Amino acid sequence: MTLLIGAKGGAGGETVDDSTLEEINVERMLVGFLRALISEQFGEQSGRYESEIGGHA
Amino acid sequence: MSNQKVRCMVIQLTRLGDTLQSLMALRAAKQLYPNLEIHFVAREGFADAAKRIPWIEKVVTFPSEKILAPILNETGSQSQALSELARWISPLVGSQWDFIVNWSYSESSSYLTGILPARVKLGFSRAVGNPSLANSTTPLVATDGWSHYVQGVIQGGIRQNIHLTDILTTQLLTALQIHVGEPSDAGDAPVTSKSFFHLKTEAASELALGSRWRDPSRKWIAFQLGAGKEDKTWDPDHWATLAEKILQNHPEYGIVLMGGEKDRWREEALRHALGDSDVTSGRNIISLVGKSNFDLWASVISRCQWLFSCDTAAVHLASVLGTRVMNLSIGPARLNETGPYGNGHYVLSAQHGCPACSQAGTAEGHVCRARLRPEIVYGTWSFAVEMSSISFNTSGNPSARRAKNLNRHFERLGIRNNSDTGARIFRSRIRSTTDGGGVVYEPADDHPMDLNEWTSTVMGHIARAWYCGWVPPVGSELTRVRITTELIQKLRELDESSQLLSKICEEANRTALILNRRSARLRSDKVMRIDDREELNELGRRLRDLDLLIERLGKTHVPLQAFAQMSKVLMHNLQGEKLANLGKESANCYRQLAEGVKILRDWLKHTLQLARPVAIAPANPGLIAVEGAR
Repeated sequence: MTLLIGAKGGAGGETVDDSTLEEINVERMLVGFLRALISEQFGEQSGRYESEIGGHA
Repeated sequence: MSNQKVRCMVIQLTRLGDTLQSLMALRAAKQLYPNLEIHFVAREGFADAAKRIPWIEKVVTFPSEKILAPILNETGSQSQALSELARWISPLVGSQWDFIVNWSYSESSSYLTGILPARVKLGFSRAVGNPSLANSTTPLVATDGWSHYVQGVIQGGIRQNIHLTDILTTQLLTALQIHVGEPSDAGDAPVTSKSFFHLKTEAASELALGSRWRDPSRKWIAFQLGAGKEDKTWDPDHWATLAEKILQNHPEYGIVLMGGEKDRWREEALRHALGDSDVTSGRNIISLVGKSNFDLWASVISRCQWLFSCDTAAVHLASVLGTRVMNLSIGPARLNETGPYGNGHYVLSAQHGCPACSQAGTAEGHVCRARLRPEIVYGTWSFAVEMSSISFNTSGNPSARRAKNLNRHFERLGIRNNSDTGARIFRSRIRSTTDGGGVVYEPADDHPMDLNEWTSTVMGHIARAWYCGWVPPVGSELTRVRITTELIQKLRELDESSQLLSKICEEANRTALILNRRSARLRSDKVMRIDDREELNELGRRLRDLDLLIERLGKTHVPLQAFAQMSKVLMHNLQGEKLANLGKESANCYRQLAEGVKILRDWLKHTLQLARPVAIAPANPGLIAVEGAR
């Protein structure tokens, strides 16, 4: 999947090819976005993120 | 401040009510920063309001239906949905943004914020993991102080009394002040107005409302029937009784019924309950149920003097348009956060002591629906109308004066309302910044303050001290007459635990600072002498134990829950990569918590002091009278 992405700090955009690390990260984020949308559709997200919150490691 | 455009994207993927609250906050920001170029992302079903705003540069609709439907209907694959998503995001990623403001506060929106590049991000986002690692995660992060508060307190289910519109406004204005500079002087320009939207109302729709609607001498009240959930609705019989009382006693008013297609049965039930009479004829009641789009709905509410509604988006729409609101708050609701915004609105709530409200029960289990009787609603509204037109005794505290006058008004009408078994009535007021700023809901009657309300008030004060410095004097929102013996007893139980919490936070702060100093001396966080490692481990264990103590105190005492939640959120959102930085950040977090506990203890002392018996001068000098809490 090829996307136009901007560099960190908002400095413009560039086209990247399928092998870049940034694209892998963006793809992972898109998958997360889609899954979260599906969960919210079914009301599985209560707005509390206890599973992601911990104390000192 | 320079004239350069500040490109700001606001992400609001929730529903219309949140969109309207966001628009009010943006209006305030735009007035102070005219060079703010606002792009607004909204779901396609809830984007109409934003599209009618002339000062929003562009509205980007998120096609959630188109993306999700194939997966939910099993007609498409996840891969196809991902391609669709990528195509939609691509132009946004290719743009340069100064600010991304995620006001959805949801998990899905955090991914969108994480993907988009910007100089400054507010709200929920995603930490960028190490893409070279197969198991690298992208955990949710709250990027700024107010977002910590939303995550820890508001989404943690803890009572607090700052309105969401005020939180969003302050959050954005603070960030703009830091990153862009001082604002323009907008004076006291209001954020609400009849001309907030540029509406496209068709002439045919206006004609359909009838000639009485166009009579400029006629006053109108909108009844928003229905609500998003059944347990938040009011019975059609109650609406009918209320309509009859208003029309019989105030012939200058007419009523407009509003609602969606699914509310048609409510209109039929209401008309059936009213029966046929001259007073309640079609000349005085107009219906737009199932017939209006956003433009007509907004146009009609704008023209009305009052809106009566349960907890629906109509409350926020009326607030934005400057139409006064009678908010019938039925079912579980947090009126302080989502009530009507502005001066002179009323909220009638009967959720106190309703078992279903506290346990999210079914509609039938809600005793609050029966408690909110039509005569109480009518009595409150008729009082508000009288207050607008005649002057009362102006001496003394305005809130206490209003409470006495409301009680007299109820007595005159023969209405009985016990605040424990009936409705509690609140009136909204915008405070000056010296008094804490933002909107507050002051009791229009003198119902007793319970621990939840006390905690909510204190929490709001603590948050203001943490994040914006607009704090009222301690206890300014308390009146002696509302303090009960029951409240005092609970606060006395809190005294010792809050003192312990204060000591724990101070100890944790000291320990974290030691961790910072010890680790700053090391060359590497990974390679060190065994002695050093053991010392750091011991410090870590001590901090863990202190965290557990904070959590235990939070579970034991409701007013201390916020500190336990905030502790978790603050630790989760630490950003440092080196141990020394983490130590310093942790120390700052514990200091923040300690400051909050100090404010709580100041409130505790003030309340207990206020409730002490005071000797008053008796009529008979031979007797000594004592007045105490009730």
